[in-house]
Amino acid sequence: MRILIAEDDYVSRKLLFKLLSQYGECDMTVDGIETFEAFAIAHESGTPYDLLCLDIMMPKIDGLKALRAIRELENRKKVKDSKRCKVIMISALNETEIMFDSYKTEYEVYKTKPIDIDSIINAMKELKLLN
Amino acid sequence: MIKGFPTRRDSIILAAIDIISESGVQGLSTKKIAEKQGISESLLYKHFKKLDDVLVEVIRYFSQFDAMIANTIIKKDISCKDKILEYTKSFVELYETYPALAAILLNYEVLMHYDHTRQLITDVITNRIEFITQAIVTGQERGEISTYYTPEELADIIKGIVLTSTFRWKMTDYTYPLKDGILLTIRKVLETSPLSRNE
Repeated sequence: MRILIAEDDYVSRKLLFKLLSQYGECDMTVDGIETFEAFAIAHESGTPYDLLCLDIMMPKIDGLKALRAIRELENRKKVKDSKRCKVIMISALNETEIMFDSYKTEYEVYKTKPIDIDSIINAMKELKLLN
Repeated sequence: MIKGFPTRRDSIILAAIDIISESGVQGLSTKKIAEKQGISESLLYKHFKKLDDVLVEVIRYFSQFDAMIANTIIKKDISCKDKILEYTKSFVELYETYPALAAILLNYEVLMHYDHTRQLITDVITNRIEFITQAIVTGQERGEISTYYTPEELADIIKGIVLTSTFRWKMTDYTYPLKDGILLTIRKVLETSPLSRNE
């Protein structure tokens, strides 16, 4: 499994890396611009990410804008639904406070910080990345 | 940078924040933004009619999470002291990972002198202080926070800690972590104030 961890907080990033390294090869980014760049480059090189752990409140461009751009790229590339990147959105904000719009799909789940290992594992199960 | 992302509009806002961080609000010009972006000034004017409009968007960007942070923390079942600490932490974390953004906080007095930004930046700062003041009021009513200072005085002390600590951090070119020091100082203030004015 190819995993991209997009998280600006060092401690959370290290925790996610330690946890998710057991399940696949992990790359890390720290802001929305880097995240989209990494995603686009991986797509172009034929090695797209299967899972993206995406923080919402990231520097420069936030996680929601990055996600919107990622879904638009997948649409432009006509990526099949089953091949779309699964996304675990992570934030200190309540889910109800976040203005999701039409780009929110069944390929995303939302988890609130502080990051809890069990909740990440459950999210991966919800996204059918784990049995 | 990938073509089309971030959008030209977002890129202009980010460039403006960088310039404000490097040269202050007075150092910001459409020419400098265009140069930083490698675009013509006429292309910039397609997205923003004038520099004031860029400044307005910079403040909106600076405060984009404010309401969500406040609403999230209000609903948490934690002490008022922890609400103040968590609220402060949310903003300081943003500055720590994006130091240029802290320049907007440090330039807020200057932004009050521009017609287009005066009300907006005043509202942002007022709302932030009001959140802390309200948490202090409730904390004092519940006996969680000392009543030695009035809520307004204590909120001003907290605001002062954030501003001066952020300014010192910028002066040293962001060479040390900002968040831990600020939170430790605020915690000390909240926990070691004398018990009450009457005692």
